[in-house]
Amino acid sequence: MDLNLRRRLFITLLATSALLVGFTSQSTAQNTAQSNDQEASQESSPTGTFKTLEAEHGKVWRTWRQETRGAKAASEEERAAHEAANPTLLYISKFQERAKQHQGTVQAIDYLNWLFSWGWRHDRNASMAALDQLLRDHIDSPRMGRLAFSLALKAARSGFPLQKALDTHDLIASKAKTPTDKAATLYWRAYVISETNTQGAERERATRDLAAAIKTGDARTKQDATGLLFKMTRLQDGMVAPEIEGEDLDGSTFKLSDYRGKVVFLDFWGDW
Amino acid sequence: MYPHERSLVKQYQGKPFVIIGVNSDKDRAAIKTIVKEKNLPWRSFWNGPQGTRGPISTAWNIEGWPMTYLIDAKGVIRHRNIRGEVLDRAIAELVAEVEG
Repeated sequence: MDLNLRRRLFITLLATSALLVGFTSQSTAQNTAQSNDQEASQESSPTGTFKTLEAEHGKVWRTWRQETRGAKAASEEERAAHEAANPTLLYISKFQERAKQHQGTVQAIDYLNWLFSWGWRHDRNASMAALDQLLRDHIDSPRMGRLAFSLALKAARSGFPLQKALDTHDLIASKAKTPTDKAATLYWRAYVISETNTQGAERERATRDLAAAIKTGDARTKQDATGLLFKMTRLQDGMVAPEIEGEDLDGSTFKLSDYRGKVVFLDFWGDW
Repeated sequence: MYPHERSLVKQYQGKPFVIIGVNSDKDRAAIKTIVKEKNLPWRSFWNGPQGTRGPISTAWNIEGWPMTYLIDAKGVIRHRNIRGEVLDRAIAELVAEVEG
């Protein structure tokens, strides 16, 4: 599956579930993130690699989740006991251990990113400690693109404090080594502004950041920034809907504006 | 969604209201058959052979499907992604605006 579709499907999934955490290869800086993943998986340590531990956790977590669904009708006590047996809590200590072993080295980044993501829901202290360490030890790493991404999703949908997210994006952007890394981070900052419907000066700045990202970003960022800028400046309530001109299913050409004078329910749909 | 959409079309027959789709199925011939078989009585733009990655949804930055917009008779976006009774009330209000 190509990355664009994966990202879109992932965001669709986010909209309908609480699965906010732990997705590994999503970032505007996907190419960078991917090659880093490959690097990381080739680095072995006495206790195995990040990928192995991540997969191991994913497997037990999915099993636990399925049991959660099955336990819906159980008593409150049973549910509480099940909640307490959430394997992620155990894995948080395992990831912390690994992050400590690799402290200050590039290998630590994957563990810390994981801790930030999964900890946000299960152990806030662990999450914030991982974030602080990433910002302290790895601020100029190209792998911070993944943090910019997960930070944005958490601020947009999981209650991460808005101002702290924006400030952190600024910090990452200011230390980025390349214009493309900077553009990707500022894209995610603008994404937060858009998703939280933040108005005023921040919104104006977001549109400027996006315009700049379209110029300086990599292909992925250019496309994402173009879409988001259009959404923020043309697709808000109170704005005249952009024209659509195209063919219907029979091949006849028509325009959205052909229906002026009528209320239009515009439905992006598919028979899936 | 289909039953709701069918009933909206029926309810607003002869009134200033229309459903316009942007269909993201890759196979145009197949979706034409489905539209007929399932009796889906609204006109759709076809988003092209790239499906959900086609030109119209790309331009409109559609990230989650289905995505809907409610546009008034002047062409102004008034609501996004509303459903159920909220949608019913909003349509009624906007149609009432047109009919005065």
